[in-house]
Amino acid sequence: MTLAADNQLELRGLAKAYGKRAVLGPIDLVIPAATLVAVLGTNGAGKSTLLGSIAGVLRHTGRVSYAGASIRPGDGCAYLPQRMRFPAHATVDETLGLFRQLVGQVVDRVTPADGFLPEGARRIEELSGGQAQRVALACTVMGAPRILLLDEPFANLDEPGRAEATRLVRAHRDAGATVLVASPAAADVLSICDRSITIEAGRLVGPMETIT
Amino acid sequence: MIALAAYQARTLLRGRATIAAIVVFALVAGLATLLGLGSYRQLGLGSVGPAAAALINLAVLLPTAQAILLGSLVYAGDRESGFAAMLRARGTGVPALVVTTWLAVTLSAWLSLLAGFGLAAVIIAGNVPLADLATFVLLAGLMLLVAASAAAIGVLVGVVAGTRVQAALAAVAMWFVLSIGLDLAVVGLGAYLRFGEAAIIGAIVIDPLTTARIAALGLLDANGSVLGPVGAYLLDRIGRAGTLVGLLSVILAWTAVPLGVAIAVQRRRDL
Repeated sequence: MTLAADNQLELRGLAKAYGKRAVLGPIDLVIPAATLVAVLGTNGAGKSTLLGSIAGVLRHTGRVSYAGASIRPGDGCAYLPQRMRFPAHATVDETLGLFRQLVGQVVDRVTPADGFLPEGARRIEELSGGQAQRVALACTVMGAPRILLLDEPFANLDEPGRAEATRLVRAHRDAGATVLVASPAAADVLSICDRSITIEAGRLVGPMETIT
Repeated sequence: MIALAAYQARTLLRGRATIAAIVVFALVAGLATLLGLGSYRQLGLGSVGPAAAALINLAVLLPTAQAILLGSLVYAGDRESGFAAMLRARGTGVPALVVTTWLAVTLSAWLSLLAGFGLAAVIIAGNVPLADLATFVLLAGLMLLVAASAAAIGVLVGVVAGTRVQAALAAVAMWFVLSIGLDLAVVGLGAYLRFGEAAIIGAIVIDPLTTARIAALGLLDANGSVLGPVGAYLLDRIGRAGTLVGLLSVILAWTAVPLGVAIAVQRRRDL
């Protein structure tokens, strides 16, 4: 399923504070559809807070909208949190099956290549960090989300894993999805992204840049 | 929601802690029953003897500890690991996150109770009158209800706690207060402060474990002397039937209210 080209993700006055301590924003930003954006910044800059706020799992002020309508959890947004860990005693197949149920009847835009995922009968606790990350990525890219929010998605992945993860993410972008990829290391993500934003101390540094 | 509940339950029931809790409770309940049969009063279900009191106390204390601890750890763990956030972003509602955790934890505690009471039933089969077996089944049902309440309290602790470690510590503290602390407070302060009727009833209502103990006494048609001063007082003042209906309502409320509060609190907090 290809999304309309004029859909855009719009952040207006997006801000997050813990008590009186502001940790993000206010951020105003418009991201066109079919764009893969690198979210850069040092540790603690606010990248994860930005992604979590867009995903609707962190309470925030300001407005997050897509194609002009406010988005809420479940409105076609897929989110991969940083250092995501599934319940240890679940198997790979059970975990993928759960997300299949959550996605419903929507046809997958793209599926992981053979060999990307570990054996389905293995428990999460038996997997290496990289294998567990592959399972988390597979769950995140399932279905046809309009927005993908990936917090350090390449962490722990080896080169073949990174290449396949990149293919999966780009396939969503090519179908019109808006994709944000957060990483503290620019070298990890700049080569695969179309544009980049940089956050420092919770604030955007300069405008969104096009990567050439 | 059914898929998530089934996933949570399968995951939880494979855990070593859950399996250990089920086995330990079954063994301890079986042992208590055997000791009861060894005495000339047998299990004493018709007139509460030490063995019956032990079985009631074990059922009120151990599976509830399991439920409170697992409820808090599973919920806080899912939040800390990012799993809950990932589910939420995909459209899983906050009520579903809370309720599915509760269902899974309740199921694990129920398995402990079924294993313990099942073993006890096998041991006492043929040794007690049929009427006592019916009471035994009602007693087991009552313990299932209080375990569900404990799971709801555990999930609430997990929602309120900041981290998994905090959740574990708070759950242990909560269990201690409910299982022993409030009783000690009533016994220690009751006479000194000259508690009135309302205060004593209040002391029961604020503690589902005490509520379950007293309801068990009511089921067994006993005088309240075996399980403490609060039970004796209530049975004497309100009578058996009124006490049972009231106490069951309190236990059900101790399931619904913590779940409702947990959902309300989570809606106002980050995942």
